[in-house]
Amino acid sequence: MNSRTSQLEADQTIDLRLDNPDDGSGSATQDSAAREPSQPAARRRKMTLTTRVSAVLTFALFAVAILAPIVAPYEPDIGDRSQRLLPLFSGSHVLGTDGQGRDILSRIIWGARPSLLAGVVPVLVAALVGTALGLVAGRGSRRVHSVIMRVLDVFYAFPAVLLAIAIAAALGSGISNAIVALSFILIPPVARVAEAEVSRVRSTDFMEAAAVSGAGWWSISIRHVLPNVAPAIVVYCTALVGLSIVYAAGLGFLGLGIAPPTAEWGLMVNDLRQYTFSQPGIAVVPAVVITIASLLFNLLGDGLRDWLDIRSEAQ
Amino acid sequence: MTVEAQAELVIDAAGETSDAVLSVRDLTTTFTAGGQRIEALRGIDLDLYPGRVSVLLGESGSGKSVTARSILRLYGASAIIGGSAVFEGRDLVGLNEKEMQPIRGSGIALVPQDPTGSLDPVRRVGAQIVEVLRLHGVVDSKKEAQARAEELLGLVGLPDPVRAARSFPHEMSGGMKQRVAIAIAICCNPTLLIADEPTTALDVTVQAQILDLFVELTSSIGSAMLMITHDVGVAKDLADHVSVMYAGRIVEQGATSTVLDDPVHPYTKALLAAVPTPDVPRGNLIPIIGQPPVSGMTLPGCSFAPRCPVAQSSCTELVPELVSVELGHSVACPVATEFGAA
Repeated sequence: MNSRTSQLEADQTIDLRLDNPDDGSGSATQDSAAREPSQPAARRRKMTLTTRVSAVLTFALFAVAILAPIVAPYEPDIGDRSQRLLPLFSGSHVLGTDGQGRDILSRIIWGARPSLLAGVVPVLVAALVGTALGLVAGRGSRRVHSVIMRVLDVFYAFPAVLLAIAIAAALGSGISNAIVALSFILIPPVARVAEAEVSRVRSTDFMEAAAVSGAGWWSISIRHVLPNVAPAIVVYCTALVGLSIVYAAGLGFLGLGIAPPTAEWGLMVNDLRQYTFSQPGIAVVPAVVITIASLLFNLLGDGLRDWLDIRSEAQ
Repeated sequence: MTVEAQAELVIDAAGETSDAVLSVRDLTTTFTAGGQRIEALRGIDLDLYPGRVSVLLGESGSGKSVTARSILRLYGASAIIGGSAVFEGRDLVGLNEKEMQPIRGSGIALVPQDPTGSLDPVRRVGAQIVEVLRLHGVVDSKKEAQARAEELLGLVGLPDPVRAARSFPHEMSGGMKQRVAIAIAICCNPTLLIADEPTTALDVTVQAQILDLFVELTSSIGSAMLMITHDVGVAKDLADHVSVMYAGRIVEQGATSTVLDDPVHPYTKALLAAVPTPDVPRGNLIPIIGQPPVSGMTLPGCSFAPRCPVAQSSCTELVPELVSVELGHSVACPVATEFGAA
């Protein structure tokens, strides 16, 4: 905070100096003195507390997943028959133990690895492919636009989850197949957002100005269209990670994700649901974790949208 | 017949013969929208010479901007362009998009009407100049391009070019942005600079500074300049040569002093009478009665006839041609020229 404040002050002093009509730039112009550029740091609006908290927690989630061997108190796959179905906050097992006496906290921590992987990788794939499709559709001829967008509409005709289940079932269970299936169903929404953004940018004056300067299709697409559509896509995709985590857990729940002994959130929901009445505390743990993880990415996406909103700043 | 007149004009005004940078002959632009044909340009003749400022003067919708955009071929497939526009020996009307790209920005540059919208909001100003420099291979290295960009920003009168290059467009005022847009336009030393109402988005005080900058730059880089404006004052101050447009045609054309001080065409006369000057007391302005023809509507004869004070029945029958009335001054009005009205 301190460094930002001091930068602000530094900017103001510079501005004052340039505003002074007695400065050396005699032929310099009144118009230019009126509003001098300030440092980019000064123009950034503050992130809200929610955004910052969710950013920190998201970071922590990834850190925990990466550091699972260090952070997890117990082996995730080895149970203790004598410690079966312990309730929440029972001594050394904070989140209790499951039917095979495995520590639930450790399984949640290890389970974060496949669950986050299946949340992030499909979104990255969809972001790349979807943006490319949206760019080509948004900037291509009317026919190209129609072909791409109508094909995407076909995907929209199926409920996304059902489509993912169908693809995953056809490919066989396994985390890589689940990732492929999720990538597939996430491409259409990303492509639609990209296409809408490209259409917005396409009609701006600076696109024509770039063409007037002699820039070609590729040059304009990469130097002007992409930087202008990127914030919206990044924001959308951040929120999409939350959805992807839920979908991945769903596939895991149905046995279409990772194979049983390995910990995975969706699989854990399925495994613990049989104790809903006997041990309701532990049964909801993985579900709550999935909800929190999904919520974090949604909040982060929302916060980023407000924070990165370049369009409103430019006016 | 105007070709000879134009050639004479060059000898007359510049004192020497020089070849036109751009020769536009019978340029027509037709848009088709929803089955309707809109003739935006109906035969434009124009010659632009290096180091000289030509002004296209006319009211909104008269086809000034369409002329510039048709020359730059910015309409793509949405317009049918006829006639010819010979630039450095090549007819731009026949070129395809790929052939046009190296010409845009390097041969012919356009200074936009609204600098705010014309700069990419998410990229630094310096990078946007560097991009154009690299695009046309004017510079060899990124470093050189950056140095050249800063030099250009200084040249267009920004007080701290290094800092300006690092700025984003939204950190600048309208006048500063227009200076940046001019820097981008002149960065490749274009042979022809087209300015499409470059000052309409600016304050009056800034307008004068920007216009001065234009005159300075045109003479220093020796390029031809086509300024599009609806402001008679701007035309009077800057132009060597004025073409007055009305409804997609040039109605009067010639050296600024003759056209604006001694107009022949009834439209030019009416236009000048409607411009306030400090000498004329308020209330003595004479408006032009009626409205310009709706775009898409083609009148059989002279487009100005319905509003013209000297119109005769013959005016609605034949489209008037530009006729030379004196050295380098042509008028498209048989009535005015026949009776030698001055």
